[in-house]
Amino acid sequence: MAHKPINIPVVSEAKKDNHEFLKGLWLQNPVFVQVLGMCPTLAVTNSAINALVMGLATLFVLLMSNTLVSALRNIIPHQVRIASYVLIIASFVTAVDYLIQAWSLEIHKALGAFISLIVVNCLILGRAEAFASKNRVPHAIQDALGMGLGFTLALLALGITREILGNGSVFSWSVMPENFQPWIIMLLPGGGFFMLAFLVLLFNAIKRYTDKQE
Amino acid sequence: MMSRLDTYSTNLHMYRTLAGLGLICGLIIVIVYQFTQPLILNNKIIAQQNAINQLFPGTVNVQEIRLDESKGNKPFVVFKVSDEKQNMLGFAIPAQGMGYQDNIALLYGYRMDLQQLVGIIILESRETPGLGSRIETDLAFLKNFISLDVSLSSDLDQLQNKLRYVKSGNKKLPGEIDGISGASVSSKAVVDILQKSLNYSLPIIHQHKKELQFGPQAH
Repeated sequence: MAHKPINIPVVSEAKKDNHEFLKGLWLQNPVFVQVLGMCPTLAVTNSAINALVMGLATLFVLLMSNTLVSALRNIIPHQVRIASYVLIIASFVTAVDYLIQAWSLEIHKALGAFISLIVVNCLILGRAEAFASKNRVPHAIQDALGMGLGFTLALLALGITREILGNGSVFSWSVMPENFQPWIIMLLPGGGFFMLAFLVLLFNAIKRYTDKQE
Repeated sequence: MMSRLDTYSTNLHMYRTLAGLGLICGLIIVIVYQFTQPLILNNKIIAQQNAINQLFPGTVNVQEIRLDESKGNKPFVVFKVSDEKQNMLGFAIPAQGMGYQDNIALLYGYRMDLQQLVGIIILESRETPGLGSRIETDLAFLKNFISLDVSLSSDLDQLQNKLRYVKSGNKKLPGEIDGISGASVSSKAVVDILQKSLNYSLPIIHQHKKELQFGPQAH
């Protein structure tokens, strides 16, 4: 019996780059799909500006660590790879901590210990181990940009909704009517859990709808 | 099975890699530190300056004075604040202590001529957002410290009326501070920090009165 020839799609380099970038935004979103980095996601998203700065700080650390890990992937011995990744990540976290202090002490004060805790964000170590250590530098950069941006957008979605409901404002600009009574619970950790659950629900509903359409 | 030479070679490779990485990472941190340190210092000075201006409107000159106390403690730091005609407006004094979650750092303004506080500014706090964080913004609470009498006892070693935290709306006696309902631990922490700092600072200020008012040459 003659077998039908199997058509293996040839993925061009440009298309692969595109995929590595886009997967972090939607298909493998770090917050809504992989549920990684929950500690900063719940703790610092009580305002839009905190969420944005934390997202960008994580994006910066992810981009730099992915690039360095990928560039040194053939030099770092297997036995000390995790120690090396932690060393690289901790250095860029220290750098980003100084940069935020130099930019704004108020934002640094608001983010508190969570900047230093980027070191233990499993998203960053996860991407270094699962992707950057096995791929070329351009792909590692695409992956870091996609995942970092996906993380930032998810944090921003949480930060904006929590600030609107908890404070009646977005980026400290008042957007609710004067008689609006803020829901203080939304600024507390409990409110973070409620809003995260709601956004995961919404994300999955949209995903199911778009999958059906395809 | 690995020979001793192979093991030695693998170990050497691991040490070499970690040492090299440490060097690269150290270099990155040093470069960023060198670049950001002047900016961070500048931001800290601006934040402190803004707080002093808020406490003493019309501030033109701020002079940092360090007094070495013989008790072996850290030097006591106080900011002497003057207006454009070099008239002394008062002293801005930093204080800090433990809050509900973390350290609370504040700055308070003291007028020696009236023996009163002019107010307090919270410089640093990580209290619960929406609850404890109200120590920074709750106007009714902050109003407690405006024109608050902090006269010293006749032997100038402690406050005449000890500051005491009371529940919101129960303030009756001098020295009592109305707390914030829903932020009682944080507001009580502020009162305790202030009470401790005032008991330590004011006797020193009065002891060095002339030196602080007219400069070190008058000592």
